[in-house]
Amino acid sequence: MIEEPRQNYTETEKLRIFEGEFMPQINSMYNFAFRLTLDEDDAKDLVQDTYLKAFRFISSFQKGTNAKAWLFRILKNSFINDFRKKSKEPAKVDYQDVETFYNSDDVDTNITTDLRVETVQDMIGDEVSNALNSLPVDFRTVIILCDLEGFTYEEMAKILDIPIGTVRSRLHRARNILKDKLNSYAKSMGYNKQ
Amino acid sequence: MSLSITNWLNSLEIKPIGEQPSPCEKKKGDCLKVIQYILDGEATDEQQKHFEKHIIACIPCFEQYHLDKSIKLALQTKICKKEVPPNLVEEIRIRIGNIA
Repeated sequence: MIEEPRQNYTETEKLRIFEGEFMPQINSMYNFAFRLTLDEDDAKDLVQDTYLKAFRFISSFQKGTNAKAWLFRILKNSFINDFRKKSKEPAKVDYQDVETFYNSDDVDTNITTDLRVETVQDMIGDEVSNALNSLPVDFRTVIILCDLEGFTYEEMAKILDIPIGTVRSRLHRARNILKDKLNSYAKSMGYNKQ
Repeated sequence: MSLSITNWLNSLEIKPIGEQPSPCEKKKGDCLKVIQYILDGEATDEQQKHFEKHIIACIPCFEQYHLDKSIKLALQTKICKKEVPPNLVEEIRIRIGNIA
């Protein structure tokens, strides 16, 4: 991560690390950027900016360590600092309101359980994708990192700069909201009728 | 025979199905969290073993586990990956070449 001791790489070594360790992550990086911005052009710009920053800060990267987590952290920070303000994301919800609501003790018991395994199995990709995309971005992010990208809680804590306990609780709440969205969707489509 | 089953269930510290609404009624939130850790591969051995015993008798937790598992699987397998724009890699290389 950025706080690592600086490495003294030659220009050749920098390019070798960039090509050998950073560029192979381009697919995951672009998909993460797209899931955050929900816009192909913004995702492309965000990935470009991230790779340029990664090259500038390459002396902070220790060769052979977790390049994917290191790059994801830069991308997430770039998104928050540069993109979030001008993001095209519609109907932005105030995060604090959402966090406060979903922090309440009622959340666990309020989540309906009439969503069925078979219903989820019958859903197509677009339906699952739309439900995920409808989540506030901070909740969406933890699900992307955990379920789509397979990061551990410890890696997520480093990428997001939050304590591991917050990773656990935010993930738990994110899944509750997602379940709620999937349930509402299933009901609207009549999926849950016996 | 029924006596030995009762003893066995008692030794597992679980109640027979139907005897109570749910063995984890009072701490359902804890069970939901453990389900999350198990599905994410983050549960301790102790949590894993305890939960394996627990869902034998707790239908709500059994159903919750399979529902959560199906949602995780749907996220992993049903959402299409976006193709990287064909010129993106080349554009990055050009911009890096300009500052290297």
